[in-house]
Amino acid sequence: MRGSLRTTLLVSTTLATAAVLAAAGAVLYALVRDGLVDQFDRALLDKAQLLASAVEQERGSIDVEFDELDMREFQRAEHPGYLALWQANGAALFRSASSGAADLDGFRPPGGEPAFCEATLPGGGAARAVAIRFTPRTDEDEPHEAEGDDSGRGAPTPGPALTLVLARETASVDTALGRFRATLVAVGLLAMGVSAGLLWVLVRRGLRPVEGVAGQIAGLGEQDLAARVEARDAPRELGPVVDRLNELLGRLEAAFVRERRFGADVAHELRTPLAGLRSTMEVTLACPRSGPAYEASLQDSLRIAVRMQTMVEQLLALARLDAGQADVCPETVSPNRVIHDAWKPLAQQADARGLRVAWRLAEDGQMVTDPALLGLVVRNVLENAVVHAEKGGAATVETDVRPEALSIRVTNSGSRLPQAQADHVFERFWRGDAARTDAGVHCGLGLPLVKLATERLGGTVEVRSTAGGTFRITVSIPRTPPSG
Amino acid sequence: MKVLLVEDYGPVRTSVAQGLREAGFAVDATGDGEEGLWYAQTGQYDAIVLDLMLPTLDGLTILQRLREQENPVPVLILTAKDTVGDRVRGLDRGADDYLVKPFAFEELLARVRALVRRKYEATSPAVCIGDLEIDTPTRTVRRAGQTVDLTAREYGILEFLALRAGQVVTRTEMWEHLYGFDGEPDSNVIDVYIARLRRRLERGKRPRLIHTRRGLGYVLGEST
Repeated sequence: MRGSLRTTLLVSTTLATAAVLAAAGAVLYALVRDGLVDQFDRALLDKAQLLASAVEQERGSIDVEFDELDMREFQRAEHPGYLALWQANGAALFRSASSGAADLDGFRPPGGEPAFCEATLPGGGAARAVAIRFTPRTDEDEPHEAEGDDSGRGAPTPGPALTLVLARETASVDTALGRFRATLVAVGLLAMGVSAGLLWVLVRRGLRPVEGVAGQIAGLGEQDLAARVEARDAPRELGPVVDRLNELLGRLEAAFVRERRFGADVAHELRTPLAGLRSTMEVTLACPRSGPAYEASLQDSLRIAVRMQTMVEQLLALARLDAGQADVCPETVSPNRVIHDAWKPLAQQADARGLRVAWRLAEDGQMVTDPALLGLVVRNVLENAVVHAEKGGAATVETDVRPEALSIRVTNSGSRLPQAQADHVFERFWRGDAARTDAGVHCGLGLPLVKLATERLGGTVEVRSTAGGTFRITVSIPRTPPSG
Repeated sequence: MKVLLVEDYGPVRTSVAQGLREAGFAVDATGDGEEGLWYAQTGQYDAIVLDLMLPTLDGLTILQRLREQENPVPVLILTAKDTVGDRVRGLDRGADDYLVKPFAFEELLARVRALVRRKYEATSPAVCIGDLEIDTPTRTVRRAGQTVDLTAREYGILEFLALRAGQVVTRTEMWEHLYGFDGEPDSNVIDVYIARLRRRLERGKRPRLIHTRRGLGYVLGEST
């Protein structure tokens, strides 16, 4: 048995919620961090460009006029920024007081675009740096000279490209990000807790009908098979389960009732001949008797014992067929021979009752089937005719050999059974009232056996009772065993 | 005493009928329900032994019809149906006793005797009239302490007279209670048996116990 449905649902939904929250938090954090870094970088670039604009080229020499700008961030004692201005030949034009960061000394933008990088400033703080390459402005206050230069000494030489590297500590961004991260985690954990609680309540409420049904099922005892599981409040999904279960209970109940009735019938049917046997013996033994009287009593007792034996054997055969224990062992058999063998023990009884039997057996066609089961079927349909035909009545035994099946049709006169009741003959211990006269002679197990054994052989059996008092039973059995 | 046996299973019917006859009862036996009801309605029975599952008419219906007609005959149900429900149903429909198959014949006999005794309102199985003692279970008769040997038929007549001691019993009544339907009524037979009974009971000059009521029948008693 797997674990509890409630626990499984709760754990899995909680884990899924946690995963979704964590993923959402990570994405949000990444977006915010990228935004902050981008903002930081833009401010850094603005400052770098401002600083670059303060570098001028005047008659071949570079004039750095940073003094007009706010340079406090590079001069303060704690966490100073880094600023360096490099010439193309690698010589430093300007380095801030804090520019001892050797790792930034070689930082140059790869092309014309500004480049950013992470850095560590000498103070130990994490920082971001930007490097821009630019050409310093020429002095625009002397255009004439420039024009003169232009006309007189040819085009002025463009100033040499310089590189400006600016770095600032990212402590403020890191702090903000740290705070944001902590908030995210706290909110996430809180959300997790709340959702787990909510899920617990919801799962519990959702599973309550299941528990209700389970409780009803647990309450079913083997004695009250008449009870059914009430599915009115159960969710639609449980409907089919409950319906199937109720159907199963119904079938079980019917089977139990059948079984109980069968048991009672067996007891009853065995008691009657036992009573006959006992009272016959007791009355005979009550006083001394003559030899013939003892003989008659023994004959009576023997008849009863033989009849009981037949009944017990029929019960056993039924039980085996019911339990599926009767193996079908097909072999080649001759149906006419089986019929002949089955008739032998019945012939005397038929003669004694003055029964006229007409035989219309088809040319013998061999078939592959279980000889024991076929014998059981034939014996019982023949016996049924012998027992139920009136004294001096008539019976007909016909066979019809078709390519696929053998039909055996046994007809007897003297039937008082209406067609409407004909199908009852397959119920165990069922007897038409008229048959009760022969209590203990036959007990209503023969034809149920015929039906069970025929079906086991893959065949069919049907009965017909006509108003004229003719009872006919037709058995069809495949000439080759059914596959499977 | 006459008993009707309605039982459809041949071996039980035959042996029980034989056993009852050998115990001194006159027995009518049938295996058919309708026939059984007819017997019960027309005959004078001291008890009926009734099976429940019968062809044409089942035992409970027979019982119900008899009780509806206010027929008080004691009925013992003899059946293979053994549940409490079956017993209760049988007794509630008016049966006086219930015995489940298979049964000991001795017990059936004792129960039938008890039913007959109750019918004649005798509480003790022993009947005493003057110096005459009749022990019904062992069917022994003593007069002044001396055992009197009687045939089954003689005993039957004496027991019937003893159970109705002091009352006039007609020859027809005696016939009806002592013979089955198969016998032809013949009052002379009764007179012959009475004469034999008197001979045996008055051995040793004992006073007469069976008195004749001319034109009516016989009375068993100490004095007229």
